[in-house]
Amino acid sequence: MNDRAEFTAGLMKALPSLRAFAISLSGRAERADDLVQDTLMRAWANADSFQPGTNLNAWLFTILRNLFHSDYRKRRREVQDEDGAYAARLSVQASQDAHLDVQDFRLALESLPPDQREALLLVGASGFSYEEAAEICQCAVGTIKSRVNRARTKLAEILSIDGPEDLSADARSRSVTAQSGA
Amino acid sequence: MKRKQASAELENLDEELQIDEHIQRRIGTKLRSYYDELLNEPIPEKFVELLVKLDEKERQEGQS
Repeated sequence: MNDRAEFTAGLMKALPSLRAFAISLSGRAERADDLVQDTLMRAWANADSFQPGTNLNAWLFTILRNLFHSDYRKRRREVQDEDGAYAARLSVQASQDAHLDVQDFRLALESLPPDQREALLLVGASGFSYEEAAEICQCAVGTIKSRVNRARTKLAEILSIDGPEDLSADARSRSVTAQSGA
Repeated sequence: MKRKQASAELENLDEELQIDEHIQRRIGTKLRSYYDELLNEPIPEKFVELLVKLDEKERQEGQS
């Protein structure tokens, strides 16, 4: 029973990062909460298959990711309108100036293909190594590296980030050329 | 040295996608401030309640 108590404590501790991953993966807070709830239920039901001492967070992220992808495939055709409505609601929320930079980033992140987005989130934000991220995504380490790299390149393009300082508006068109020449 | 090795690997994978170190750092900073906001959001009560409920159920089953 001690193991179980430790397991519960681990789940509790993982909640903020699970939820952050779910929100940034799905782009929708309500759906993210469904994902987190399903992840907790599934983790609980499969607690026996978790080996104490191994990385609980990686195990939980794997569950959440798998749930997200089976759900994503199912819902892909249903959500077009919903997406638009959600974006509209968010733009209303983004009223504070200090918040705008983050909102811009969020939108750019959402425009990435899901496989690149999740690779970047795992490695760049959630603190997993390339190896751990590869295990979570059930793919090769090289694939993760490639996806992270593509994600960064795409974000730099969208956000017009080019070197030490931000680009001025008139220099935006040059960013693509500068990058491919680098 | 390590960086050279890493970038050599990446070159094999994505020759056309080499990314400047400054750009990488700036994106990293933006990503983390975006993510920190999410991490600092309050956790909905229902998750904690759910875990407490599951835990209680487990204890009861363990006792009977």
